[in-house]
Amino acid sequence: MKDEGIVKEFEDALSQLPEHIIYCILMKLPARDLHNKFRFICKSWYRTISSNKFISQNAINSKPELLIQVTCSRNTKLKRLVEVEEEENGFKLCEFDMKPVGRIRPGCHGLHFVNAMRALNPLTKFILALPRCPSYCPHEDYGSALGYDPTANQYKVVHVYNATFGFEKFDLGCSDVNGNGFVDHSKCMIGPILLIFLRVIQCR
Amino acid sequence: MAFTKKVTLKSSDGELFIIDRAVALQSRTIQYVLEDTNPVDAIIPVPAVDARTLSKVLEYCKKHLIDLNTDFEDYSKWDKDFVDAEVWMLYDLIMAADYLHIPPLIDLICDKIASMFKGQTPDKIREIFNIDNDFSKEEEEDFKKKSGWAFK
Repeated sequence: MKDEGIVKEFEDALSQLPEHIIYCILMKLPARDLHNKFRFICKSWYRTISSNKFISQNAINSKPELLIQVTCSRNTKLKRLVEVEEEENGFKLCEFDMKPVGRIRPGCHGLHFVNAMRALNPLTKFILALPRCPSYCPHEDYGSALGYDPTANQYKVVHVYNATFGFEKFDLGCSDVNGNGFVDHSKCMIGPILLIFLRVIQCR
Repeated sequence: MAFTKKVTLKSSDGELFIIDRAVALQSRTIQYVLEDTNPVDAIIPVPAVDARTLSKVLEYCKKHLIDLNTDFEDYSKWDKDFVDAEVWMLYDLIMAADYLHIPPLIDLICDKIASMFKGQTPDKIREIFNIDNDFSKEEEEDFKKKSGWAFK
């Protein structure tokens, strides 16, 4: 069993590595793997990987894979995303696991705002679907923007739905100031935007 | 002339390596020794590294000596071949690079080891690093729900 021998050797060598070297290795891993797998190895790894310092170092050190936006077909405006993976010789194109989207808008801090109320981080390739609106807006025809509030360390989405002239504000989950644990603020608020619209109408 | 000066390194098993001072200076550990004591023709012991590993490390240092005639592309191919080695060799190399403090070499090997984790399951990773899973099922579910990390 040649394979087992290699694995055994691999384990023996790596289990002896000092902690700061393991830290360097983790830093090189793609963010998606860290998020889905390596974070849940044990609690100390979870703390390390979730710390703001690690995350910013990882963003610089890991090799990002490109995302390319491709039009689905000639007759639609819908676009899909394709991932470029580097291989031994050349590269490989993979379908990015996301429904076709209409438009990708830049938000802030490099985050992008995708159709149907999803926010995408193109570097780590995480997608966060926003909570369902209290207005039950189908998200087909709407205006929205993503912004960052540094005082509260929160990302906010303002969503204007034109059927009823209302707006909603969402707070996206993000780490607290110290980077210890995460607070999931996903509040929705309704507020009238009627006055602004009324003024526009009067100007005519 | 700093570039023509030679430095002698002695590995843990007693082998002597006579190299250019500029090559040795890529190791910060040796740089400190040279700056502090400035030994003339003295032998610098490297007690943590054996001859086989040291020669490999020095091979890297010689290659990476800033040379205006070699372009960047040249390095990446050479680096790739350099780390295409047995796991034990990589382990020895990274420990030597850590001891001698050569950050780019540590970086290179970490890259290589990280690439070996592609497609490994969490259980396998725990086995490799000899780590016990101290998450309970509920805790893991709870942590997985939190999506904060995506947005930093």
